[in-house]
Amino acid sequence: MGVVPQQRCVLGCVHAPRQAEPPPVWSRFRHRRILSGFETAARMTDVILAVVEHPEAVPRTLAAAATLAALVGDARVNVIAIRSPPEAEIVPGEEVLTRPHAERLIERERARVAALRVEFDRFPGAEAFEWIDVEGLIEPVIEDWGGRADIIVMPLPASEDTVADRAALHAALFRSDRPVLLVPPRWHGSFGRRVAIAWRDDRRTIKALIPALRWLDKAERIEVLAGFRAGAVAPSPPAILAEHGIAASFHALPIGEGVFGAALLKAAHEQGADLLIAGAFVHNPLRTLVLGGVTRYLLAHADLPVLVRH
Amino acid sequence: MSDVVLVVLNRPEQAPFLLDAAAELRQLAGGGRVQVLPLQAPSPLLATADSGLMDEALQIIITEGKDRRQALRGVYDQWVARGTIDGVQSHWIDAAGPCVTDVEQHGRRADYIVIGRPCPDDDASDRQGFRAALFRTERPLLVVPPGGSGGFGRRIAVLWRDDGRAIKALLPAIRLFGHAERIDLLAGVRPKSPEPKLPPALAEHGIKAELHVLEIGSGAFARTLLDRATKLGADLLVMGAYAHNPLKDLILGGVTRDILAWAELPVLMRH
Repeated sequence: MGVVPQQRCVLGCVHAPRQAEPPPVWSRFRHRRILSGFETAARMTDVILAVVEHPEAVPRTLAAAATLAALVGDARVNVIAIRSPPEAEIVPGEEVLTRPHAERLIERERARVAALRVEFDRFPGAEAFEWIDVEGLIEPVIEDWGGRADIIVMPLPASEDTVADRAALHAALFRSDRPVLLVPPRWHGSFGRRVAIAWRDDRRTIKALIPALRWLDKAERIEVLAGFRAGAVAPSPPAILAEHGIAASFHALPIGEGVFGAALLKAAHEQGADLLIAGAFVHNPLRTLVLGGVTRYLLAHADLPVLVRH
Repeated sequence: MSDVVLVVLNRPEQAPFLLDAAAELRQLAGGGRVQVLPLQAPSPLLATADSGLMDEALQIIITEGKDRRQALRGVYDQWVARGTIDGVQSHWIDAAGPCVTDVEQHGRRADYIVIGRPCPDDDASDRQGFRAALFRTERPLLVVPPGGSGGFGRRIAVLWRDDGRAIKALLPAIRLFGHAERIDLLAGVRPKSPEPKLPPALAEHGIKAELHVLEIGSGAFARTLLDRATKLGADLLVMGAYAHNPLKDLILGGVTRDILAWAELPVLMRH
């Protein structure tokens, strides 16, 4: 991934090339990867798939992917921009795809991806990432690329999300069968030092947690937040953490009148958490996959990165 | 963080092989802890409902269950005392529930599950335990053949299908590939179907592998596959376990079923 000598910002202004900056920590992984002459047939690297849709969300998505790559160790970051084909942009039966119209649509997508690429090239350390530009329908592309990655990173859509944003989130959560790290708007900084886990003793939560256990021991503090209803048996600390040799503190949160998602986020903040891990729950899994109340609240209101898995 | 390997024991005579395989797997995973789950004997209540057993017979079943547990515990204690593999941290689980619940509960929070290959004379609880491990835990399962596994992880054969699901079965296994000298992908093709290709996901994960194309003929494909794996000197077979799902009753696909019946090498599978 060469760095372009001159850069254009989204507004089209030409900027002078950046001064050489000290290489960011994560760029060394690339050098490790391209060394030839392996002793063994395998030199495992985790694969992180970062999905970019809107130029303004590119920096936080890449920053989160870089933080995650550093936590995981030897990781490859694939950054994917998906161009929608013109056939997907019209209403079949109502609109006719004339050639000039198709060309306009292709050009619009090309320009959008070019703007994403500009943001990508600006990101310090992007030269260690792979840039992938594909044309296709969002859901199958994310299912395909996400399904063969170890984890997916994508931005949480801001208030006015588009149909494409929702399709991307839906595909990542329900069709990739991978954990998804969602990066909220206005987030910046780092994560992985103080991790909160929204604990429920069931398979979704455990599925979200198991891949994260590999790097959770790098955290300074792990706070387990478990909800319980009045009168119910008080929850107990999860055995999975102790079995994996991870120390954590345990907090039981009463589920009361208020919104439990809000109580969770509040507790996570009180503990100074920089990352929240949770299972993604759904209603009515038979016909359409609709997110459950707590999950929906978390995705709508989270102001810290959330690692979820269905 | 240390990985957790859950080993499910049923037949006392097989137990030493399973414990050794668990220790070997733990080594491949780069350390971790071994959890030992003795499988409960079949529930006497179920047995009475099935065959109308009398009190005496019931008593025999209960005693046999206790005997088996004691025998397994004896094997485990010997294995710990033998201490052949340094520093294996292990833990005996005093399980009391029905076998399906125990396997599901402990299995889904382990990183890998080690279990014996099903045998024709397995009893009901053995079969239920195996099905629970494969279908209800969503974890990779190491199926150990009756004669034990020896060392494994140096030469790995992977049953490859280009259907988008095979890669999901493969990803959790990739962490065990670090000691492999050689990785072979075996892909079956029917006559006139397109040639399979090496999946790009492997290279992305830093894996070098060689592709072998096997023709799917009229004979059992599992036989062709196992013969080729033997010829390549494979010591571990990695595959996805496919199931047909008519109304939730999970029935294993043909190849998976044959491999579970015939494989003389350890098989790492994931549903």
